[in-house]
Amino acid sequence: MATTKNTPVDFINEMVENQTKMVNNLVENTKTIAKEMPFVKEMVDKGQQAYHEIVNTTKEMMNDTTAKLNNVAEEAKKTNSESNNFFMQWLENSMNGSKQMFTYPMTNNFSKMKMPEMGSNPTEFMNNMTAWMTNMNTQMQNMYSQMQNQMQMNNWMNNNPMTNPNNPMLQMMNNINMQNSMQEGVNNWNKYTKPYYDMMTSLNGDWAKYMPNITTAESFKGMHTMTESIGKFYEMWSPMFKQMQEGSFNMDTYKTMMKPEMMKDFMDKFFNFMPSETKQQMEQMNAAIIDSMKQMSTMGTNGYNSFKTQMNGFKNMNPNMGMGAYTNVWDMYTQLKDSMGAMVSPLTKLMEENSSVQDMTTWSNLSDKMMEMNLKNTQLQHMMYNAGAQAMEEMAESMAQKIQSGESIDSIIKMYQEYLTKGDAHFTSLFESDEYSKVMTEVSSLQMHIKMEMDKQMEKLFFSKMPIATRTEMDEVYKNIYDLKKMVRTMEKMLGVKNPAETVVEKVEKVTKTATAKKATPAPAAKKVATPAAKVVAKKAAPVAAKKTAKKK
Amino acid sequence: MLNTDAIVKEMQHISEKLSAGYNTLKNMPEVEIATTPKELVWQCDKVKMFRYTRTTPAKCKIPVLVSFAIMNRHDVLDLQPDRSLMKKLLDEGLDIYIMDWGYPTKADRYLSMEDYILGYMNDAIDFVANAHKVKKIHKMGICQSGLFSMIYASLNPEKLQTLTTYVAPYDFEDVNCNMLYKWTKYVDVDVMADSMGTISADVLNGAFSMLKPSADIAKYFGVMEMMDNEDKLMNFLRMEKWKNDTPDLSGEMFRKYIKDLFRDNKLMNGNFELGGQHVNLKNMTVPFLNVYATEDNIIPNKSTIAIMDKIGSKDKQLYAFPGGHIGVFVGAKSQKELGPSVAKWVMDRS
Repeated sequence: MATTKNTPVDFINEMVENQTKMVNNLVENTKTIAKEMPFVKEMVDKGQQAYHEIVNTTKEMMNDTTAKLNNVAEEAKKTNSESNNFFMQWLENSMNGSKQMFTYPMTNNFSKMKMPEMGSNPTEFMNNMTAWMTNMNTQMQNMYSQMQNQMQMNNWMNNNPMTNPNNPMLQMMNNINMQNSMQEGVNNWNKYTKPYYDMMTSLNGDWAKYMPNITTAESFKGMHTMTESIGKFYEMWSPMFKQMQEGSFNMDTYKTMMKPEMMKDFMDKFFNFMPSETKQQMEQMNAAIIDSMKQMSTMGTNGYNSFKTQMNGFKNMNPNMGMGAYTNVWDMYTQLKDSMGAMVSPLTKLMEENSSVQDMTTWSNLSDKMMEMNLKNTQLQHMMYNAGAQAMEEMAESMAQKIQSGESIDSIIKMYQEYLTKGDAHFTSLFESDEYSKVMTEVSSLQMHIKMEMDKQMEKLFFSKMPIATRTEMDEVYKNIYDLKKMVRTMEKMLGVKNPAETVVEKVEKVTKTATAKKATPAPAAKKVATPAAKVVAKKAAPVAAKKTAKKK
Repeated sequence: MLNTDAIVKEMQHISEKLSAGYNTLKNMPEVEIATTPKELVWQCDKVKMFRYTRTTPAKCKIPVLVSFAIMNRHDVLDLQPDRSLMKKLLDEGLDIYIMDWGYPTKADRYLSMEDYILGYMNDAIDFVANAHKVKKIHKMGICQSGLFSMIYASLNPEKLQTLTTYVAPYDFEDVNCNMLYKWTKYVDVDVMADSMGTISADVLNGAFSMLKPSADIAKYFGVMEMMDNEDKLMNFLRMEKWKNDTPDLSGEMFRKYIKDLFRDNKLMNGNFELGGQHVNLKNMTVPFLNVYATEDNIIPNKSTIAIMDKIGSKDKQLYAFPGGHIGVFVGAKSQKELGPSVAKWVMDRS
């Protein structure tokens, strides 16, 4: 498909033509893979048709463009420093967002607000308690409102200079048709391939069931992941293909045209980092937990107000109403008992073990730990992004040198493999560093602490009320069983009793396959290993079997 | 300059290969490993011991007990008939038993290092010795199990005729020689064991994969090109099957393994205890063959070699095998060189 002309328009036409062929090829392959699923064929056909329409429109547009690349390059250089600082900004935004979300509870932690103490004056105590509960409730509501505001403000995409509509580079790109056309070409490519890859991923479960076993299914999944990764690598580098073809590619071109958010996306896929959408869901879930704590405290306040009303009612009760001394006394006593019961119950629940405040303290500590983990995890990811970016930059230098020396680059796989080699060197160097090791183990430790505490809280709040054994209870059982088994074995050894577990069981035979066998011959059904119950019965055969074993020797 | 035509064609080629790969994999037969015949002769809880079936009498009267690392399956020693260290040793005339540590569940979270070494391993050794009416047997240990076998041999040298370890880690002093060694200095192993109970295989596999981050993607380049070669593809799938079959680890065993051995290097420092007994490497007087892989990126060579000056054996030998950590068992050279050499060394001391 070599072109005799070397103008920018010819290059774009060639790229579009090649991409169209690639799309058609993808369509055919998808149909082959998904032939058991008719709806996929229909969807793919429609997508292909839409893509062809877009391609034709784009071609017409590109044929009318003028080259104003110099202006684009000049403007791009001005904003170059912003794109280079992309990851630093991402880190700052993420850190600040996390901090701001949890700043309120950290500096004004309601659990640190001291409860009033029971003095000699119960009325004064109750008034102080009411004021304390109301204050706590107000604090919780303010904290929640602030968190909601911060979550909306923390959308890092808004702070991303590359997607900010006020970015002069984007404005300039919108005004320059040539660059816009290139961008359109890549976007159109993405529009088709992304749904294709998403479809492959989302239907992975369906395809897996057509695989004969999990090993082949996992292998296909691995192949697909690798293909997807190369596709993303291609997307990252395709804006620079023109310069590479012209021989004008250099580090300035790379720094101008390499999109940091695409590199981040590539790295996220490579290391299976949590996508931004999922991260937002996690943050919303955290807020929901805090919200439920707020509601619990509101309920507690309402219950306490009710208790206070009853106390006041009791205070105003006149015990000397009515005739008949004994009846009156009995009635008075009954009334007093009932009132005391209704009055004391909420107080008892609140005061007996202070469990509500304990739970709130636990949840508050958990949210502190979550915040700390988010910050450290962000730090960890930032280190990895930096290492990946350094490897990519080294690769770009290598590409620039090759182009300048006139070497032909004709393989995206070789480029990708070169990146992998350089990436390995950078990543292993990072992973071996003290700084990374400390942060990584801290994140891991925090994750497990949080998991343990959450498990305990779930057990306490929910599972203990259900007719199921909790993990804590099972661990106790496991420990008891372990200790008993150990005791029994020790006693068996002391008494010289043969371990009933030591048996000779039936042979398990399999057909031995050679390395050159094309198809596996079905193995004869292997005789099953005896079950534990059968083993106990079979123990009597052990001495006989042992003799047989000795004879074989 | 850039040849865009070639690049685009290459991308087409990749997607074609993916499609072809799907069809090929869909029609692959069952992936079988560890097919050398053997029989189950002993079991205690989830731990089993198999004896490989011999078709001819053994040339060596003293049997051999092999144990693999607990964190992986022993099937890699018998991956396929032409890449089976076990089959090779059998063909050389040895009578081989192999331990199968099983798949620990949450119920096994309290199994300790004492249980594995002084319990299961000891009982298995006693069983084999009694079955063959011998006082001593040959012991072989791979990787972590090599370390465990060394500890056992230091406590019970009278039960072993010889000890052979392959790619075993002994010395953890130099944290900079390996990223795993470094991480264990910082990891909070107590919270790991307390929160997880049994250490998940995914956690361990994730840590190992970071030794070479690109490996899990890069390997598929070769796989894509072997789609029309079923034998090569099956070889790959066998290795994948073994790699994906990773058991969990008992939390208590893991706790002591990391704290006493990795972190405090107690065995090499002379203050390691097991089951209330002090483990003195100088008591390890059994003839010793120490096999290490020259390109081992999982267990550094210096960690394996360092044991030679610490043990009391007079008959001891280092064997440098060219290859990687796993290549020592599955490579072609393993069949031609390592298997016969180890068998000869063992039989010369029977």
